[in-house]
Amino acid sequence: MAESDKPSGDSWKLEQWHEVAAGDTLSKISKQYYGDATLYMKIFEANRNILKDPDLIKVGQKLRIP
Amino acid sequence: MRIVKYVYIVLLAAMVVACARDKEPAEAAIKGAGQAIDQIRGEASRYAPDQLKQLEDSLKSAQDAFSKKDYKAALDAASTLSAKAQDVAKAAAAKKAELTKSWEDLNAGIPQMMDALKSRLDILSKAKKLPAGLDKDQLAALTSGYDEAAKQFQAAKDAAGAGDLNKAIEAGQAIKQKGMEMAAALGLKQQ
Repeated sequence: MAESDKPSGDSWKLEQWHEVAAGDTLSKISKQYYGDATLYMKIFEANRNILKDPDLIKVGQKLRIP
Repeated sequence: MRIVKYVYIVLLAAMVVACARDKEPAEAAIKGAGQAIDQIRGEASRYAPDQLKQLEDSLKSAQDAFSKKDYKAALDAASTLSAKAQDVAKAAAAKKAELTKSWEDLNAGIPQMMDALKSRLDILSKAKKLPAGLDKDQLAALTSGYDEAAKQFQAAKDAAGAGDLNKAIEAGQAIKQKGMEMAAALGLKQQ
């Protein structure tokens, strides 16, 4: 599980990104950032542009944590 | 001895005539300067107050000299004030443009920052447990801080709407600093 920076040049933009590692699930990521695994759909919804299914995430994908 | 007396009288008369000759131009210059300053006072008092004060002090000096019948000094002091008033008007306009740009940057950026904070706070408010490094009291303080920042931003926008850009910018910068501190506490990073 790795948090990664994704510079965009916009100094007002406040974001948090997570680079998917082996063994990650959205629930695990949700638990890491929100303390509650059940909130994984928040992450899924924020990344609908790259995720089609909350159960299918790929190693190396960069997910925005809303 | 008689000739000297005549020369003295003639010289005195010449001086009186010379002084009186400056009276009308001095009066007109003072009036013109006063009008020129009145025209720029609104913006200048807000964006170039020090320069406006210098102008007003100079006008007062001219008026004082006129009152003392020193018309030449009054004319000298007042004759350049209209042009100087235009310079002050330009300086005020430049300062206003600079402040407007600063405010526009804040007004465009703060909502982005606030949206990100609100999104995270809303999600965390639904969490049954909180992430490591954040407890309920801290979350409550951050939520309260967000609400306060939102009120301050509205007040800043109101100040800008009323033309008080200095106040709006001061408030906006304070909101930005507070927001960035909250973001750091929530793990959000400036990109």
